[in-house]
Amino acid sequence: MRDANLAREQWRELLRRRDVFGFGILLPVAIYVLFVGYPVVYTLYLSFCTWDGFSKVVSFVGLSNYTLLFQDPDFWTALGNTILWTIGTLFFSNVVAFVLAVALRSRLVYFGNFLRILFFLPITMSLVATGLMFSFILTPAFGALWTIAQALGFANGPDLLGEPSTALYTLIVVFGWSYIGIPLMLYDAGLTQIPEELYEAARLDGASPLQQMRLVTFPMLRPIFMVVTVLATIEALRAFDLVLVMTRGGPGHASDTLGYFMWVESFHQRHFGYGAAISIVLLVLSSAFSLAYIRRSGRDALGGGG
Amino acid sequence: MNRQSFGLPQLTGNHSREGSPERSFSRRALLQTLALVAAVSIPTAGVMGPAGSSVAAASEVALRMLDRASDPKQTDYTKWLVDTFNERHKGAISVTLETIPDDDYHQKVSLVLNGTDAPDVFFSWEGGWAELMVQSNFAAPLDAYYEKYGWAKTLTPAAEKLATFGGHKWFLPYYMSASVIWYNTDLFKKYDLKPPQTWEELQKVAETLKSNGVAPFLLANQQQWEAQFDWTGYFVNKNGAAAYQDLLTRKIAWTDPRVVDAFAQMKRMVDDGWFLSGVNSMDFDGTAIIFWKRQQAAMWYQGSFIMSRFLGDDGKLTYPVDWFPYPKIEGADPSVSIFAESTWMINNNSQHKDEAAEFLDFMVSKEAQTQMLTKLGPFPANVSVDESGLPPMVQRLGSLISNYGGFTWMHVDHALGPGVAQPYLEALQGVLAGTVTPEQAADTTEKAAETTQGPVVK
Repeated sequence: MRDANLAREQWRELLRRRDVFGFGILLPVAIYVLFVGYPVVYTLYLSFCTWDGFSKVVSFVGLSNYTLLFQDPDFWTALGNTILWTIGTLFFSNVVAFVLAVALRSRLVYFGNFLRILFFLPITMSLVATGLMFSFILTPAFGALWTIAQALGFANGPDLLGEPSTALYTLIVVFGWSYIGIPLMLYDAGLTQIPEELYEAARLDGASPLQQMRLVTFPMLRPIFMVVTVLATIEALRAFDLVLVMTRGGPGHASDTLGYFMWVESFHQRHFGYGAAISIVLLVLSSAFSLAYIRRSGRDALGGGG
Repeated sequence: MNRQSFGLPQLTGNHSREGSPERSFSRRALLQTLALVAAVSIPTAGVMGPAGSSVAAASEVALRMLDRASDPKQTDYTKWLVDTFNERHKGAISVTLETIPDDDYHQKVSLVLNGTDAPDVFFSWEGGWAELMVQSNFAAPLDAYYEKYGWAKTLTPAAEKLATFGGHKWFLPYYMSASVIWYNTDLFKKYDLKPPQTWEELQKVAETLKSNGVAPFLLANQQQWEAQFDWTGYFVNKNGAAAYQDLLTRKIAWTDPRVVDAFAQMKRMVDDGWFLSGVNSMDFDGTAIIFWKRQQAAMWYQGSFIMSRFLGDDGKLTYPVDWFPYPKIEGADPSVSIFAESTWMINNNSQHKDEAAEFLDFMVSKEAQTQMLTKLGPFPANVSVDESGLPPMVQRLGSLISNYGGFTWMHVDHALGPGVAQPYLEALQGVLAGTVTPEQAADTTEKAAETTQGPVVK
């Protein structure tokens, strides 16, 4: 209660003094609410309506968009693909990037800095450009992959994007290749922060390299694992650009993701209410991961650890 | 949490500081900031408003035109249209051009047309999309202007037919297209082949090509809309244009055995090696033409809009190509799909419909359409445009479009709105990939049609 009174008093004081700085804070808050808060609330509202984007009439239909959504096999395909995409991205971010970071820090690898730059470069490219580049590489008959396959003696190369069984995994690998620079840099920075004395102490205690990894490196990098996991998950849930450029969700729905499914429903089919419902599902999934991360990092900051 | 830990001043600070030089500075800073915001926003508002409106004279009617920007050549042509018209109507009508990139047009046009500052004239597709525009009250009926300017006589008969539905004429086609089978004349010569006129002859041609290691057809279906050409070509020429019209108008269902057979035929063509491999990963805009130029496929059933890929900047053929209509299948009369690739509409909410119609009349004039032919390639909707400078095979097709008196039909994504077309295209791609059976594809499309168009009416 005292805090509330104090806050009220501070607010009155601010209004009385017309402090420019105080109003200065209101401006970014207002901009945030206008450009982030309002669209989110409006999307939520729209998810309970039907609207074709042209008509001035937006009809309230209650929960029927959500009912339809959960009965729609295409939604479950897109959700399943998005989960696979997320798992794949986490593999690239937490396993491949970590192994690369450790390898680049070891004395076994020459030209470490050059290789770091090389691995980081793809993240500086737009995903659309990356998608177009890989589309050409993977094109049957004259793409680089096909040419290599023929040079190796195969009659034909694989049609990775045209086959329903391989299209999604191909996109995931391309996305992993494109995204790996960020987790790699985070792990690389984290590894440099681990005091060498900890490894020396572990070695004196007779710890093997694997035990050093398990007992020193992993615990010390735990906050970075958390950050990488949350960032990669959110990034994977938003997957759209590569799908649009490389497969358009096809063949059939084989490489549909929730982001792409939402775009098709909203902007191609003009089912804006339905598309909004898909957006809300995506928002809930992203928020759940973000909240879990925030809670976890809050506990870590307070020393709660595991 | 200590507020100062964020570097913020104490809000419960010393009251005696009121009126201090520091506070005066804050006020001054506020005023300066406001002045800066105003200075930035006033010209920005000018930019956001209808371009050119500030310079338009008071008596001049200011028109706004919204076009899709599909490629630089097309934008150059539209700029020429606007500049030439403005020059000739100085002081009376002034047109301002606005564009939306082609890929975004579907998505953004609803925002623009729903806005308070909507364009007077705007680009539209024909068929299902045009009906959507009409239902949404964006399109003004053009019957009176067709009468006034005699467009029915100026334009190809197919253009007027396509523009007419629900008892009115709703748009003005300006860029026509026809779907035919393009073939590589060198390959046909090499293997002693003649353009087939019947399905049996086409099968023989396909077998000859396959036995020589050449794919009979090219199909680049990564974007999903391409395979419908082959599907509709087969369906219409096997079952007749009337059956196809019945399908579009819900007199027969998508689960009809003839429809299922057309889906199954597409799968048979894939399985029998009629298409160059990679149909679902080949990009129409990017890689397809490379296969064609490498002579890996001999035929391509597509709209005449792809002709720009075969012609050089001088309008001359750069590749050995010719065309023939889709062959006759069994007893049905063969028919060619003639459709309007691009059309103009007048906004029903425009305050200047008469001036907008005058602008449209200029856009389909012989002069403007001749310019279009030069800059964009064939085919203009205006039948009086001189096409004699074009290669003979192009002239032949132009003549077919201009004179075709019979029924014309549109491919599914033009004929129907996206509510049916999108599930159909996805299902068709699934059939080609083998993940969807012909029956499932028919069923999926039927459900979409029932939701969007209602039940079948016998």
